Amino acid sequence: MNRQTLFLLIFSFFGFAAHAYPSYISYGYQSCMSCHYNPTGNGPLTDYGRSVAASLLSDRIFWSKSVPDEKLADRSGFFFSTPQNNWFRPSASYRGLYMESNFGKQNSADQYITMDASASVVLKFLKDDKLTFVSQLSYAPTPLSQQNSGKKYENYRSREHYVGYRFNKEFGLYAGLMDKSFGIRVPDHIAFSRTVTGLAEDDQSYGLMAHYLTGQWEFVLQPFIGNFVQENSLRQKGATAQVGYALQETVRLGGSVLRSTSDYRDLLMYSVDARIGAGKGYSWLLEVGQVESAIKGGSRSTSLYFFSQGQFLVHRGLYPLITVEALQPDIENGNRTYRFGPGLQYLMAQRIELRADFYDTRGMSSSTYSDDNWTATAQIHLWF
Amino acid sequence: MVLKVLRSKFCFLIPLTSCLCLLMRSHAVWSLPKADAHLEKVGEARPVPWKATSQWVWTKSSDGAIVFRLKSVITVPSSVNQAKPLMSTVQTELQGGTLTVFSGAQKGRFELSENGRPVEYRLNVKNPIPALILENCSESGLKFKTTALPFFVAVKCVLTKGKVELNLTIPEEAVIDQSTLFETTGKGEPWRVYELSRASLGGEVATVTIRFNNKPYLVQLVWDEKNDRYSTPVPVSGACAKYAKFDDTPLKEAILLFKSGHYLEAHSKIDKSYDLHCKEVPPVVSLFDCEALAKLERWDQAAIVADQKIQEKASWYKTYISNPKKRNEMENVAQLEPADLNLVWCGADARSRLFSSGYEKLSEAGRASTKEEVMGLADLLTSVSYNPDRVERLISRVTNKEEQEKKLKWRVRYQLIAGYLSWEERPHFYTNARPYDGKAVALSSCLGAAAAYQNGFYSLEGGACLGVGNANVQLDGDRFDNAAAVQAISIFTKAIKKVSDAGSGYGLQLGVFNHGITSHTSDGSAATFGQLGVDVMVIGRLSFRHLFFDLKGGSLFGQPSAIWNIETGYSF
Repeated sequence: MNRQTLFLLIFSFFGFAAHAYPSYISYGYQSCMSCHYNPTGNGPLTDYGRSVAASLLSDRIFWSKSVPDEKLADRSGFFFSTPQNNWFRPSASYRGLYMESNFGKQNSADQYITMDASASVVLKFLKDDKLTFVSQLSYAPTPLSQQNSGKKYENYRSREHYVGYRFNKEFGLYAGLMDKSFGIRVPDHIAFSRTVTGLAEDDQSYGLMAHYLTGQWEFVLQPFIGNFVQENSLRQKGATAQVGYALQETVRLGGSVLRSTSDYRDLLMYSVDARIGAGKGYSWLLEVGQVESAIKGGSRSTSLYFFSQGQFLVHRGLYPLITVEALQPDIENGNRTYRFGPGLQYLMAQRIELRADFYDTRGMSSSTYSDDNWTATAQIHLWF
Repeated sequence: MVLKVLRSKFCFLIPLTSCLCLLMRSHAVWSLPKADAHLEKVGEARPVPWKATSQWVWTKSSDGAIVFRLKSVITVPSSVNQAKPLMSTVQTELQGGTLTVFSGAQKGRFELSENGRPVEYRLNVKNPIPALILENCSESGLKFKTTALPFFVAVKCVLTKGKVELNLTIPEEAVIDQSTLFETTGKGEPWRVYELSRASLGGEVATVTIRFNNKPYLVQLVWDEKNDRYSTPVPVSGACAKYAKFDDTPLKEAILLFKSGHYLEAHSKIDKSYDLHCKEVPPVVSLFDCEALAKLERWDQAAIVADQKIQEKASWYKTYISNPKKRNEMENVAQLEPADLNLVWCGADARSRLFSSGYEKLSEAGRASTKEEVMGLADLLTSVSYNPDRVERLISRVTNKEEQEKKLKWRVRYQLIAGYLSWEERPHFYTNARPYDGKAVALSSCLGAAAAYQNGFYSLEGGACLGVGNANVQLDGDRFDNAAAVQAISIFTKAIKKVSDAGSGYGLQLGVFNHGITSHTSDGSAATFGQLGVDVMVIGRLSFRHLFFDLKGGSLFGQPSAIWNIETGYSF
């Protein structure tokens, strides 16, 4: 893989989302449903999720020691409030990214990108919030890969709007625009596990999702029909299925299969994953998968990817990260790309997340040599 | 003659010196049995031919208790330059070729360094005759009955105002299994101090069961009024009669003192105003005194105060505390009133704090028995649905302390490790023809072993691994080789700060890294490169008991970019 391709790959998909992360398996949170309205994660947080963020995960630098965590949890609602009713939950989020490519080189370039500015509304009704309506309106930046393509890109769009009904604690049905459920939903959208699978921050799809959670098992079946903001011919239609099994309180194994087709391409991808907690604040996410892509009337290729991310708590809210990834774009030839990413995530307070990362991208091509490419990023994420 | 005069003139006139006077009453009290001991080097089982003299002595423990010890003065060779006791009741003192050993054990162990080499010695005591050594006890009418003892039991009685203080010493190898007396100090130690109210003496005073070499020995303590030559005890009813109509004024005053933080004054008020041994004094006074003593961090006394009062109502209580095996046979443990349960809790709380705060002072046996007592009392409180939060706190205080102590212990572990590492470098290749500069990206496995010196908070590790791999190499002005062979040897040290209970944490690695690449030029000749470098890496460790994973990244000095390493290890 040459340098230009790497550069494009990174910049095309840069982005982060989600407020509560799969790494919180280390605190015993096996299912995303503990903290999100969407049972497979991402999108607005439940009241419980907000209070956990305030009272367990975030630093307390703005609070004196005399303020108990319970009080922070009470004030974790929209704009520091305690919810006044049971049915209406507004929220807002902003995420900005400063990025310096070719870090440390003479040809380095920096850029600030507003990754996300969104407002969400959740309406919930019936006992135990059985019925939920979730809607979000976002600003999404035009990916660099499309900036000079001449194609119109919808910068203001809804990344999700769906209705959900839980028949009981175990089983629920959801319909609307949602993320496709596959693999570990890490917030790093540049991760190979999100890019080669086409599951980055703007890759939602309309569909139906059946979610079943019982004891140690979690199942998701999600047929989808593509995103209406795309041309009909480009929409990938198909289904995804995911299963998770809690081996221990802080160890969960999973597997996913997704098959979809459009006028141009057939996709089959599958992965296995593990989320491992090794003490509160210490976790390891692992995912390995393959993506079989067939251009109709054209070429076929199978990509192999590996994702690994360790999180290490050093102080409440402060988490150094070490990410190790590998991608073999075509298993028929030996070209591989490795990416190593030391990072630092700091949840300064419940509504403020800071993150800094370095990405060392290392190519192992069968035909050319390339030096490591370093990218530095800094993010601010505010949510209310 | 002089002693006789002193005794007759002063003893009854100055009651506070009665203890001293008693010592003068009989010549027998000055004469301890002859001591017979021999020193042997552990492993050789024959006496060491060093000059040694031994004698039995009474000495004072750090808690102020009078304890019985064997004092041996040994002349040691000049090569001995350091002495270290290996048992809690053994003390050593080395001064200019003379070693003084105080031993409270039948076989007291200690270590001598001879020319810097530690050698273990044992001071074997031949049992004194009689094995039961009493001092001053018969003066107050106290007698001890026992069978033949294969170990020494020494009791020194000290008489104070209205009380007899028994200072009991047994060898460190023996354990007090059961006792119907409550010790004031020395819980769990091979020495105990018991306090008897002279007002309450009568008939069989107590029984103490001592276990030695897994065999129990019963010692009975009885009081014979005819033999009490010191004073006539005050009848129980007489001493306690004044509490028949309970005056709570001192208690109220004590409570006010307690509330203002004057705990010592509050305790003194209670001590001076009430005799807590009297049944007429309600449990609430004992409860209050227990809490005041707990505030003063006099945990053992707080427990005694609580125990004494409960024992009045529940005769099974002492056996319940001291003998876990008999607990299951007891059917009447729930027959306690709420006020009594608070006392039980206070006694248990004091014990748990003694365990937690006085852990270092307690002997191994003392820790075990104190923990057993706390757990037993927690069980008792749980069985009557007493405040579960309080009970939980008792248990967690003990278990947390144990965990903490366990974590503080350093030990050596050995590890097998397997890793995969990658680095970028600028090699200078040598061939038969000419040198080449190059660029390379290398991947290598690494298999090895390490030793870790660790406790629950830190791990210091050192080890080595070696591996092979492959590299992409660009030979300047020549060819690109994507299958160059790599050899790697890493010798490293790691310092890890453990954060989670399982051992996860973070740290730093410093090592030397020998790395080599063998490539080929376009004409087929071998191009080799090898270099010894220094690497520094930050480590994130994820640990699951014996298994751990290290994610590492850092710098290989002198080379561009970074070195990365994923490593897994198994700790034995």
